[in-house]
Amino acid sequence: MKMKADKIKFCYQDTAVFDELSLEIEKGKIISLVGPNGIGKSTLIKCLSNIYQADSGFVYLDGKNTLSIEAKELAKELGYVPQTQRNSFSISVYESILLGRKPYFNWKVRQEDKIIVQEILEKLNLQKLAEREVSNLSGGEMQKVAIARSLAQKPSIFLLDEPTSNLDLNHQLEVMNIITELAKEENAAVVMAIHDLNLAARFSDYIFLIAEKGKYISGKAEEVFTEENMEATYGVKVEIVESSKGMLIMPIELSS
Amino acid sequence: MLKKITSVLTLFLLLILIFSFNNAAAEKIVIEDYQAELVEIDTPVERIICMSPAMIEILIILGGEEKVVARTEMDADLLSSAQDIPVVGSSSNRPQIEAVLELEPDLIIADTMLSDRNRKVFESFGIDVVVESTSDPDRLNQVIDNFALILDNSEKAEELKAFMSEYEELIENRLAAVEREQRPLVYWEWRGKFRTGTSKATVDPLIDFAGGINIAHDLEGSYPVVSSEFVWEENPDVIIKMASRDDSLADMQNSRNELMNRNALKDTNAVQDERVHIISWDVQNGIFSIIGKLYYAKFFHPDIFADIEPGLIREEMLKRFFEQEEFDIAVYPND
Amino acid sequence: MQKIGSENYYDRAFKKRMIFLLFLIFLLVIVTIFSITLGVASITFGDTIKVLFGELFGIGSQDYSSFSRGIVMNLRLPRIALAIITGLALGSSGSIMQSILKNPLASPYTLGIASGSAFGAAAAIVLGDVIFKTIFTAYSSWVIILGAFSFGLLTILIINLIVSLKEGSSAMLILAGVALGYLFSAGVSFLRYVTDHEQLRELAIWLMGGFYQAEWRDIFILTPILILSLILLLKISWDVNALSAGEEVAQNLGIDIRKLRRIGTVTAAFLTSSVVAFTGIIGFVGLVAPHICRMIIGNDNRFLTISSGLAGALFLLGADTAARLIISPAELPVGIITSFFGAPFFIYMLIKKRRSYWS
Repeated sequence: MKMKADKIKFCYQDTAVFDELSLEIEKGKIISLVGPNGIGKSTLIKCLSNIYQADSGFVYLDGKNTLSIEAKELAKELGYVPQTQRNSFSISVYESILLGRKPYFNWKVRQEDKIIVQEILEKLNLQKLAEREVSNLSGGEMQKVAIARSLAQKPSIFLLDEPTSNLDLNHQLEVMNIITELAKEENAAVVMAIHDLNLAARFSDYIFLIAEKGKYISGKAEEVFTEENMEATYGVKVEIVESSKGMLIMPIELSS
Repeated sequence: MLKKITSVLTLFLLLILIFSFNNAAAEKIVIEDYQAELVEIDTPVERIICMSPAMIEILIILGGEEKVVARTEMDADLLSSAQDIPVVGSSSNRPQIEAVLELEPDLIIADTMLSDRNRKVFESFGIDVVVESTSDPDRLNQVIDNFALILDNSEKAEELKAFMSEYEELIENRLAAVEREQRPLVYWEWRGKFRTGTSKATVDPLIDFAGGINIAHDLEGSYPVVSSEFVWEENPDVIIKMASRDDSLADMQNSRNELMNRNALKDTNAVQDERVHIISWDVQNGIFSIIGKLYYAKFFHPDIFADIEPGLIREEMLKRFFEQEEFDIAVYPND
Repeated sequence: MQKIGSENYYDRAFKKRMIFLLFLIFLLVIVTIFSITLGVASITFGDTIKVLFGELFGIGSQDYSSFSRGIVMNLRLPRIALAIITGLALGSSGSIMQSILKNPLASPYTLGIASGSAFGAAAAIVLGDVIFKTIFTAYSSWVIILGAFSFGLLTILIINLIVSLKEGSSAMLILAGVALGYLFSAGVSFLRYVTDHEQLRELAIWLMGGFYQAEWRDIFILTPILILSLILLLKISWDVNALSAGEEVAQNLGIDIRKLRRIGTVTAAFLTSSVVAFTGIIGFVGLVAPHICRMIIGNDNRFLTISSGLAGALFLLGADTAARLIISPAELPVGIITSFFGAPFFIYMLIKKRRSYWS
């Protein structure tokens, strides 16, 4: 499965968030969307997840325009993982994951669905939490449940919005490992909006930097995360350091 | 020839039919009630539930007291004998349906507050229902006639009607020569402060008949609350306030004092001339409305009706039709 | 094997919910029997049962009097049926409104929909008498329902508009609903002022709700409306579940959120309006019933909607039976009883979960 966004434009209250944005994702690869706050990373993720409709331009799945695909079928290809949030009416972890099966049945839960949920619970080591209410979980646990739900959709493309924000080091690493496995074991494409440039550099195959409106830089981490690009985009002087696990981006000072 | 025989035969058969019908109908009477329903009633009627205090009064006059097996709530202490009749609800509007049915009445007499639905329910149990109105002055004689038919006592009915019409004619005759300019402006109040009655209120024709002009006649609604400024500006010559059914003399006194001292009314002609009257509901509904008319006429035209004593006429009425010897006060001040 | 242990979770929850449903139905039957045998008219328990079997199923000895038949079949049974239908309608629409608007304090009463419907019904009576004078009597029930629904719908449209405003918070929604409720109550009071004596009699039910006017005709009109609406609500219940994960997730799962919200709220408003047209406003049922069910079986709308309906029916029938008996032979308005239980419950909810409810 291959996803391609072709010159898409999205406006929020008549101002374009981004314009002429093109992007390609292949299965088994991880792409990180990076860029300053408010530049439209989350919006882009939602456009790709069929939550928002682009104002112009199209998104293609294996060359097929997503507008021509039924919402239910699209839901079987695109798995969206939102930033964690709490809701008024909480359901159990099990039920929350079961919601991912929504595109596959209308009312009656089939044996097959129960087996899939069970497998996911085991895979993400969530069995013990199955009966707990989602709203009583920690941030890391909630993030895992959200990923588990998207897994239940059995999609070929995962779209994650800030999967590591608000998580401690331990959970950051755990979540990033799960994401890496998604790409490898499920042979899925992964797109994630992420703030942490070091995590992005270490875990992604490609980086897509939204520098400013209309200016996009993509490529391997070493090609995108240059001192020059960082200063131009974030207004911060950085130092790129080589470590045993890849590159590190050290912020030094605000550029004058 | 054959044609002739046939027609004679037909006529003959028709006559038989009419006579046999008449025989069967000898024990039935038909009454057209206030809602224009034709009610066929088997006589004699033995068990009546009456949901209107004013109508119970008429039933009692016509000798039907024994037959009334239940009533709705009534706080008038006027008819002490009626107090012992069991209660089956607060009014025609909210009867206790199962309690009514449990008493197995032959006939239910109610006022217009009875809902169509409840009327249908009672009828479905084979009970005759007659809906009447005692607040419509034009209807009163018809109500008396209908009840007289039910209780088979037309003699007493005629006596009652004659008693009432005598005084009605008296009022009419004496007021015939009174010009509109001579009629006093009347502010009538009921329940809360500044709640009055318009042309849709039952009091309006009463005021008009007694030779007064209701200042609220042209207002919207039936019993609206009006602005104090409206009353002040209209400057009524007479103020009348209704007393609740169970108000004591002291209550009526308080009522009058409150009116006389109310800021918006202080400067009106009525208060200046002390023409402020408190009058009980008892003399304004049903057959006693004739007493109310006499009181109103005397309030409005004291000189024309100087010789008339409504209080004494009321006592006479109570003695003659109810054999009642104890009398309470119906108006304040009572002079 | 651990696999089985966890796999059983869904089946276990399913079983628990089914048992709860059956338990509610069982209780409802018990209360119905209890209610039908109690009243001012002295009919024995045996006679009541004989009438029921004889008239409804045509079995058993039919040696009961026409008096017993009349009391049971024409007075008590339609009243009980109306209480049950109203409870089902208010309970299920309350639960669906809460889930769709994601607002635990939402209900036909707190959002002002009941008041709107009552005003619409009252206006239909007053204006209908003027405008449709000739055809009014024949179609009056439908004219009243139409009036109730128009204003119920208007209220829910205003509510939906507020939800779609980005800043619309949970508290704002409820306050707006309360304000709308006051507005329409004032409207009913206004109608009271401008109508004459005769129409006022017909308005009594919208000034103080209740079932004392129940007729079989009402039941025949409401039953199909109730069944169709419940089927529709059950059909969308799995989609409504997805909303609990957030609107964006629901959208990603292939749900047309706007359409879902429209179908859900309009159906709930229609259901509410229809019963209000016959019973007037009876508060708190649509709020209390869903929450008790949420506490017991959780928030899966596939079970919650119908359970809330049944719990509402149970609550209302119990309240109405109490209203008939407490000061017998006189009757209390049923709204007094539901408010006595509902209002403290409402306050308890505010205190217990105030943070999540007012965010």
